[in-house]
Amino acid sequence: MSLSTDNTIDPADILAEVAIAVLEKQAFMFGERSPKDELITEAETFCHASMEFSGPVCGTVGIEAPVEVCAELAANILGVEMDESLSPEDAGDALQELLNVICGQSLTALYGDEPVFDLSIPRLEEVGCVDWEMEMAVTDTIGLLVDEEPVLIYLKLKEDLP
Amino acid sequence: MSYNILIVDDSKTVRMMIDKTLRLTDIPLSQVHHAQNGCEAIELLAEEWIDLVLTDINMPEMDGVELIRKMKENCLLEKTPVIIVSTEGSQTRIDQLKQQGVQGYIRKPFTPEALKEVVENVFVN
Repeated sequence: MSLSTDNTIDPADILAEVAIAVLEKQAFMFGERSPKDELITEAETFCHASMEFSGPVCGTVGIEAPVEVCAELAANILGVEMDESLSPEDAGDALQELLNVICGQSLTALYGDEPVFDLSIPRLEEVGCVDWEMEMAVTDTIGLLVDEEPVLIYLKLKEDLP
Repeated sequence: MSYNILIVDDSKTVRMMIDKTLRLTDIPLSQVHHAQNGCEAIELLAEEWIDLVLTDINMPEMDGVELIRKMKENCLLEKTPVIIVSTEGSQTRIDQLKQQGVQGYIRKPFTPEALKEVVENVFVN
């Protein structure tokens, strides 16, 4: 069932389900949805990846996580140890790829497999605590606990963008 | 016989993951080459004999659709098998790519078994 046939489906629920499934299948990391006020981290540096999609609907999907979580993500995807020749670029690249997969899978889950969507190349930026707190405060941003570490994810349709 | 395979993806993580997965299978490999986009792939295809191309669609500079189009226009490359490895979920677009001569499609995220099955199918056929 997809959003195109059932308007009672909440895109946020689908996004969270897809993100959790992709994390498990691609990176062997286990996640669950969590209230944002329970997402506590002492991290000071975060990776924020985002990308646009355009088709029958247009919008942006993004993900933000502590750098250490991104490094673990990269290590798990590549099947290497955390300290084994992994660079900060590898951590960011892994987050971008994760987002790419989540975006593609979410659009199919929401709108079915008939529409054609064009996806942008994921962008990556390193941000600090202020950006993390700002993203936490956005109503549509979803909180996940991934292997007990906080991750934020969002899907904003263009009609919702300011 | 062992095969030369070209992996085309702008994500180093994906290239490494596919490379590692291929080496874990019993598919006989000679060399596994990497390219970050279609432009790099075309340059490499001009220099090396490649038995199979595994390519993403969504890449900067030259995407996978353009890469396939250029290969089909080249009499030396038109018969080189191509497998799409992508997040693409649109059956409409997958059908279009198959009409352009793409031999296989793997959707990300994939299991090593799924990758092996699609690659083996191409070599068997």
